[in-house]
Amino acid sequence: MYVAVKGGEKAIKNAHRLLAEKRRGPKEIPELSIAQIKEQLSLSVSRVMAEGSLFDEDLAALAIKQARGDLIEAIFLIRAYRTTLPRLAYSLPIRTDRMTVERRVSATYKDLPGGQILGPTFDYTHRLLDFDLMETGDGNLSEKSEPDTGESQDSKASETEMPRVLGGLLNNEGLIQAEKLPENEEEHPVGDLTREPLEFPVDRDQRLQNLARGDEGFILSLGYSTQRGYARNHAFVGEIRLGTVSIEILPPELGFTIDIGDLEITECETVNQFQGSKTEPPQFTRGYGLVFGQNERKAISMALVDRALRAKEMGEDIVAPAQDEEFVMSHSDNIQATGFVEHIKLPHYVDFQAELGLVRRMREEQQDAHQQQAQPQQAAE
Amino acid sequence: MADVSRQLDQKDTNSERQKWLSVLARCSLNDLQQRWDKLTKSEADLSNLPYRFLRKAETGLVMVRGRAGGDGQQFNLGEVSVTRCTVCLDSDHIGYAYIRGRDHKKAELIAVLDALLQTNRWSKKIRNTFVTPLASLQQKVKQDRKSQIATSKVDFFTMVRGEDA
Repeated sequence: MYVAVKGGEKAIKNAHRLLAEKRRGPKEIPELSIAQIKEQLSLSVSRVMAEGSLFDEDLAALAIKQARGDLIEAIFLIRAYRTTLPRLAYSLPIRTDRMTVERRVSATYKDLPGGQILGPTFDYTHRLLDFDLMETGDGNLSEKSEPDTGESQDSKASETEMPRVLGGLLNNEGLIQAEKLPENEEEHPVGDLTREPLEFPVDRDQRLQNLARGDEGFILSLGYSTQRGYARNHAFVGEIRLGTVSIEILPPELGFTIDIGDLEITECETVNQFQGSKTEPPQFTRGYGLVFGQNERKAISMALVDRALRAKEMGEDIVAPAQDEEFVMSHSDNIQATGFVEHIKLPHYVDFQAELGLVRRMREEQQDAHQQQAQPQQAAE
Repeated sequence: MADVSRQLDQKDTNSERQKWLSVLARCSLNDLQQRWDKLTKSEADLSNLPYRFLRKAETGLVMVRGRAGGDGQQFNLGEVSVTRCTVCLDSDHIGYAYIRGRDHKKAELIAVLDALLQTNRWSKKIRNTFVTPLASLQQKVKQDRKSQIATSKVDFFTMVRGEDA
């Protein structure tokens, strides 16, 4: 049991002042602006939005600044903020097939309609520190940024249609499992973990929501574990897309759908082998990852874990942590995790006194028992 | 009679409205405000346009939904901050704004523009000052980005292995 403490106000106030000073750093160094964080640390912003489960770049940048770059602390700030706002509506499902694409690659098909577009990626960089970046200024950029039209035969490439690789291409041959829709979709409630407490077993909608806001590191490790043989299902990346989609809602007062702006999003679909079962022929199965902002590592990991968690539905043996929905979903949330892990540093004096008393008593009892055992022996001698 | 024709036109108006609301929602406050300030300088009636709030600008959340595999079962992906506002002109035209983000000023201005766009008097003016030029600006930005992105289109080719040759 946790018993609260009182007092320490002055020390706490001074600790917060020290924190504010530390956050600011030396005064002779210019202060970071929200715009700088938003535009130049955009992948941190993406992560905070995804795991904070709130798409708002300015707020995420503010949280990063306030948290001194501690992303989990920033995510905590965002989660706390979102509880202060009313829920106005649910959006219509976003149409990722209509995405304005910034990047789109497939590891399974070399030639696909719409082509492969690398976009702004770290892939194929040499991972060598670029010491030019030590200096600020636009000198380096203007040199490197001249686009070389070389390879691209078709500069209007991304104007052409980009059919979904799995749904479109593989499905045509019937070699991949189709995504199932609930029979009466209108009446089928969509699980919402922000509204209903988690109760097992769960459906795929709750799992996907949990994974989408889950800790990147945790999901990454679980995804990795499936590749290393814990819940073996050899996966290929069928398609990764990064880009913007519009958000549409249907306000009851208007009676028609309206488009309220854009959302940056990363989507990943994996293709996995499936040996077939009594009812299903051998075919490919799929995992799905969808994450706010630009975050491929998370999107791929999410797709791997989504597929692993579909074990029951596929009739596979549940033998590995990544297949265990209770294990995965109960430990994926880094705010819950950090709250419980870090709370043990807060005063537990009463708690600890009780344990101290207990250990002392047990010692005394043990010593008494030893003495009693020793006495008859002495008597016998 | 007038009412009947208004009802008949409702569908067209709705699709027109969808278009302008989508364009306006994507503008920055700066873009809108500059145009509004310029317009109100020449149009005295607009500079002191009377309107009342049916709903003052307020920020809340919209839960964004996705579909498994892009076309399968729906799930809740995460929330996005959204601001809405509703105004009513003296002519009883009601203007709505729903925009991503937390900009109250922008939501209010868009609600006013939405109302004005429904009036016979201002529709054309607002369209020419805001909707049409801003739509083509957005289109241009999108096209420019597309051609920038297209320079990274790649043609992978698989190497023929020695033993297969």
